[in-house]
Amino acid sequence: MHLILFLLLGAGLLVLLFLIARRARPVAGSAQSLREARQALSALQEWALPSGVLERVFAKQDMAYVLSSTPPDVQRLFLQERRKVAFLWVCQVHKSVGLLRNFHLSQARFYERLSLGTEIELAFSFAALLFACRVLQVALYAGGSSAAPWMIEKTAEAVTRLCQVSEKSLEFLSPAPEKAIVDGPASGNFPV
Amino acid sequence: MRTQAIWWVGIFLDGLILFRSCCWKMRSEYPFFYSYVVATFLTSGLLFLVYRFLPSDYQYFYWTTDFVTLVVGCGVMLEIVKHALDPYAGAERFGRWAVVTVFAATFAYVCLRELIVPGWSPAVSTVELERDLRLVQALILFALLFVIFHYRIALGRNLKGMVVGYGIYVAASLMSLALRSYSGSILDAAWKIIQPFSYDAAVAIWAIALWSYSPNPIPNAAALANDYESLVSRTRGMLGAMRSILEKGVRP
Repeated sequence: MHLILFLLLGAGLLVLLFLIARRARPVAGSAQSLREARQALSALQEWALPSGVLERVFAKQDMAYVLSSTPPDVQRLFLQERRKVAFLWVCQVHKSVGLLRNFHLSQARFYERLSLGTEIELAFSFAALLFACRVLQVALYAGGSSAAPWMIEKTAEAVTRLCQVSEKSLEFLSPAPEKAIVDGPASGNFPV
Repeated sequence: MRTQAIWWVGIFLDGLILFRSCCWKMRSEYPFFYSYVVATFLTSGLLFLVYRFLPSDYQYFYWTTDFVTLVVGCGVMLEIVKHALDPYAGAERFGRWAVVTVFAATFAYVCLRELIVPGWSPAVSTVELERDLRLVQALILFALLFVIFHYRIALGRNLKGMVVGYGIYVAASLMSLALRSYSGSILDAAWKIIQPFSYDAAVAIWAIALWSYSPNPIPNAAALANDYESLVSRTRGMLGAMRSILEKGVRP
């Protein structure tokens, strides 16, 4: 048992070294990560997360209608296209969450008052969400857009939780902005 | 003959690294790392002389010098912390916390084991003692590398070479010592090759990475501090807006 643990630790260290050695692009400075985070959030806000889009992509009524009143060719095409759209939706959420994580890490690493508990909680939340997106992709690939509506809901709930934790974690970084949001001109620049 | 060739290659590469450090005046930049290289260069030379002229004392000298280099080797990790994590206060805090946790866990494990199992000793032979010390070193290195990887901290060519070379050596030593203490003298011949060969691999990586001075990229902390307040206020606004949209999405 001890031998296996020693060998696993040695192998894990080598894997980590390999990942560090081959990493070409570390997280860039504040400007680029801010731009990427903005892009991610606006992509989510504009088309990936609004309730209308979610309902339409995974609506059962549309499918029931097409399946009951159209020829087989149309049904097949409908299912193919719908799967593609659902797949794109999950890919977009996955990418955006990844960019938000990069943004958070690129900023949090500088702050001495960083909370270890919040950081660990966030890391798990991000990892769980990215994993859920992957599972969703597999489910969509295997069963089409009607395969995993409950999972979509769970993923959206997880994103909501993640946002709450992220917001909380950003509070400690700078106490001043609270005032800036209310009074400052910066509050008018939100891309929302 | 093969063992001696591996030996000579190691000494030659150590000498080459020290020579290059003089050309680029890098010793003042990485004092702990070069102290380690000097220590291994001197001990390798000493061991070679002992092997040739006092072969009966070789075992004693080997284990003594091995523990000396093992302790001096911790300086390489100090160098990693100093150059990689210093500019990032948050990541450094995380790294410090991880290292303290590893030390505390190791200490607690040894103390508890001694209390629970009377007469238990952490290591019954020099091989096991070195293996256990390498284990602590590997755990600390793992924790530091995890922080570097997690926070995507940029490493310059010099530091990346140090990290990769030392990591390979520690991982190979840990695995070969574990196998050796488990199988006894059966794997002695393999261990005599693996241990110095992994060191040669590490020194070769260092010789390439430290051929010339390449400082670690320093983040522009001043620019960040200036734009951070507006950055945070914007981000908080974006996150709040995103949350409300998501809440609508989940509960239409």
